[in-house]
Amino acid sequence: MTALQPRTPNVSAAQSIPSYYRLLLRGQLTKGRSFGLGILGGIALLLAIVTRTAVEAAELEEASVALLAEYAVALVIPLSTLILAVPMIGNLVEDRLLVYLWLKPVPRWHLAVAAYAAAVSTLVPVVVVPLVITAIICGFGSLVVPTALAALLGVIAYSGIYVFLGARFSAGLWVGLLYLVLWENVLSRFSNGMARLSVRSYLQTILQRGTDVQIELADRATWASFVIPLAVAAATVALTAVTLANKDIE
Amino acid sequence: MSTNGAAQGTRIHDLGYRAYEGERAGVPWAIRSLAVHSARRALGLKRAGKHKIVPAITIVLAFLPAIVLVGLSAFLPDFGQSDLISYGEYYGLTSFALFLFIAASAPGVLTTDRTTGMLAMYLASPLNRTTYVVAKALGLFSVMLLVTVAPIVFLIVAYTLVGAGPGGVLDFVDTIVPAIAAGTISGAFFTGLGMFVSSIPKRWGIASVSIIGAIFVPSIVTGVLTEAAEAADSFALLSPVDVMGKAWQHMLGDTSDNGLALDRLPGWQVVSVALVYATVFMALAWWRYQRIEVDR
Amino acid sequence: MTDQPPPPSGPSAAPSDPPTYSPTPPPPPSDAVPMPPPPAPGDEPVAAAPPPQPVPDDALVVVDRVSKWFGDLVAVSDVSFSVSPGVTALLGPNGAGKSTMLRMLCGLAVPSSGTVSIMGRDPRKDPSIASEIGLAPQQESVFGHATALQFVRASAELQGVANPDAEARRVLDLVELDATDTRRLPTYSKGMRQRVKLAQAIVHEPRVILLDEPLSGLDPRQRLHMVQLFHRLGDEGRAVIVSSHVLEEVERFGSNVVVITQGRLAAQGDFREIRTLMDNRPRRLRIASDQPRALAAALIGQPNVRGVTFDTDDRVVVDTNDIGSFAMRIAPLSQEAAARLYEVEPLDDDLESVFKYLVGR
Repeated sequence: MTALQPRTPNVSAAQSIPSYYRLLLRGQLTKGRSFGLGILGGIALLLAIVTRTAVEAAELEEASVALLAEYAVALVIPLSTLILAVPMIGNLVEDRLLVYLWLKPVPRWHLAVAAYAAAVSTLVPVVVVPLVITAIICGFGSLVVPTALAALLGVIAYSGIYVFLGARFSAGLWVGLLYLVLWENVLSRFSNGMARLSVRSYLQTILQRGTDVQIELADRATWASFVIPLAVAAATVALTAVTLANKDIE
Repeated sequence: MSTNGAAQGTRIHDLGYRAYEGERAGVPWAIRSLAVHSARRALGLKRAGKHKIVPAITIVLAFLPAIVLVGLSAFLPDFGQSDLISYGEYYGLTSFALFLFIAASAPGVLTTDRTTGMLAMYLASPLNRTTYVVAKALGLFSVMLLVTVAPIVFLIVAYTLVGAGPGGVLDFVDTIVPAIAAGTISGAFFTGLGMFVSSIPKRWGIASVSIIGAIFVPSIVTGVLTEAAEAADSFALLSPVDVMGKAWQHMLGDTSDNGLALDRLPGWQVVSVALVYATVFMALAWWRYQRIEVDR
Repeated sequence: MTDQPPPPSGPSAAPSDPPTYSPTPPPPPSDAVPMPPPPAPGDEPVAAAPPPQPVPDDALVVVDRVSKWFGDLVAVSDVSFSVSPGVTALLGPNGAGKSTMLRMLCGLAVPSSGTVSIMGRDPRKDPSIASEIGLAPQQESVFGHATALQFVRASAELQGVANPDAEARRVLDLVELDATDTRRLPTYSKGMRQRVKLAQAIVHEPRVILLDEPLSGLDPRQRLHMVQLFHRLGDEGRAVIVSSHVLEEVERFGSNVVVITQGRLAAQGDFREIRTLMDNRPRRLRIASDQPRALAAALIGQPNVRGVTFDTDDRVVVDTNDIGSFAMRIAPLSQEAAARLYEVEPLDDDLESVFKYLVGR
């Protein structure tokens, strides 16, 4: 028994989350990641230009919707998020740096929220903006706002999923890639029921609201298209906090 | 010290340090050792069971179509010649396994040396940057042959045994030699691609994702350019993996035309470009390793 | 607050000093645990964990029957000890379980059984106790895009320190680093990184400071400075626990040790007192004399002398199983032998000897 009483510091979320955020945000856009994200975004723009100039007018809307629904929503958004969000905590675990952020007198969810916020705030300008420009280039005004919303909600949802995978698994990138390829782009396309369990389907539903061209398996309820991605983000951030609380730290 | 004891044959032997006075095998043996070690690592041998899962799955996937087809042919009397796939079509059936294999194995063989500091150790040995790259390439290439050459050879031999393959020795040789050549070239191609992409990032996860990206993104772009935008057919040559697939078909005598841009290009052009890609990727990997800063 | 170096011990005594022996045997320490009696013939020897010591009132760290296993591998087995303010060395060979124990003390790892408490709180279940824990881990990796000041200041902010910038600069100065240096941490040498780790560990003035191999990479002058810093922190009432397998390093920290080997607690307390408790090992002393042969002849006849040899400088090396009675007899014996005594030096009173015995059992 000790006569000394420990101090009880009062580090609020308003103090700790910005500190974590600043430390995590530094150096996120490395040369390699910037190059990879630039390639993905640049290709979207290139494809939009090609579509606009080479496709016949009668098929232009269909081609534009295919570009935005399949390339932008189904590939660029999740792949870009995978590249940036998984390493947010994943690299700290791999480099054995998590200890410096974990051994602090604050609840674990502060770190989970900060990592998530750092991922989203980095991804929005490098993913959402190029995709909005892509939609503008395609030339259909009705698709611009849905593209922006789908991109934003996609970043919000996928960032939560991938930050969690990076915290939970040592091979987070591989697990995330398998999730993206096998689940989001293969298995969930088999039926409407399975599509309900993929984020892609809700994002494509938002796009569907801007066009009459039918997007396969994109007929979720409008309210669900907005609520589900946000709920996925909240749930996965909570899971990240639980993972951090229960994890053995190296 | 050694002393002669009173009894003949009695000795006390010096167990202290002794220098090695024997023959030294030199750089070739060092290359061989590193190649063998790299091949083991790529297959997950001498490591925990979880490291063997992906290599095992991809090897099984590479052989599976052949096993299924031959089995059906041998055991189902109604299964006719027309139901069998051609040797040229086999690449399309197993390409996913190739992609998965190279994305999983190449980063493990290369990036871990940089993150663990082993690259510095290797370069402090008789190996230099060039011989290091050669050793790694040999190791990776030898295991790639398990998924590029072995399955097609198995298919040809199995077809022959069930009576669906080439008839006669000359015919057999005429079939198997191009198949081995095609498998060897595609093995070299994927080895080069995997090594070049893995030489850029330090982290193996990023290298794996980058390899997948390097495989699929050019394919999507050239597909859109040539099919949707109706650009010139030669744009299709900008997708290395599609070029390799078509080169495989040409080398195995498959002249099928699916209406794609690559189908309209001359076979010699496609095969040449595939060889160029294989060479360029290896050269780029070598060039990267001349420039990498070894920091520990 | 003083900068006193630790008192010299055993073999480092200068040859010209008067003989360093005690005329009366030292009393056993009050909290010494008597060695268990040898098993009777026919009894199976039972390996039991040492019984837990009573916990002192001023203990800041209490470890109670803690074990940790990873699958079939037992890393720490039924270890109990407490740490009071001052510098305590956590000693053990590589793979003994020191780092695992240190991680459990911080709450980074959960004990498979038993409890760890820091100032009465469980460090795993109560994150707020992290304000009283400072850890400088062993790994060299650092944040790639931060300067030393940014890193330490962030640590201070997350600890709720009132003036994080000022405090970060203060501790960087304390560890002799330039707070205005704009270079990123990856460009720092090993020794500089070590000092940054120390700075972030103490910026919030914790009561419990855990240091894993803290002197690694430091030059001799920096080592001396750091050891003085550790003692100062210990004198301020903090529990400084230093994990190391480098005995020379540990001897500088003082004499209080916790020895772990193969995951088990081998010994704890003052290492000189541990040596005293090692009844089954004769004590070895070296005696310099002008008549070594005559002295040796006189010594060999003594009942408490187990062996006498000569070293290469013709000094007498004697093994005795009763240091107390030997110390009383050496002066009259040398007189009888007409030998002048120049030096009587204990050869196995140092930490290395204690350590070798404990880990080699």
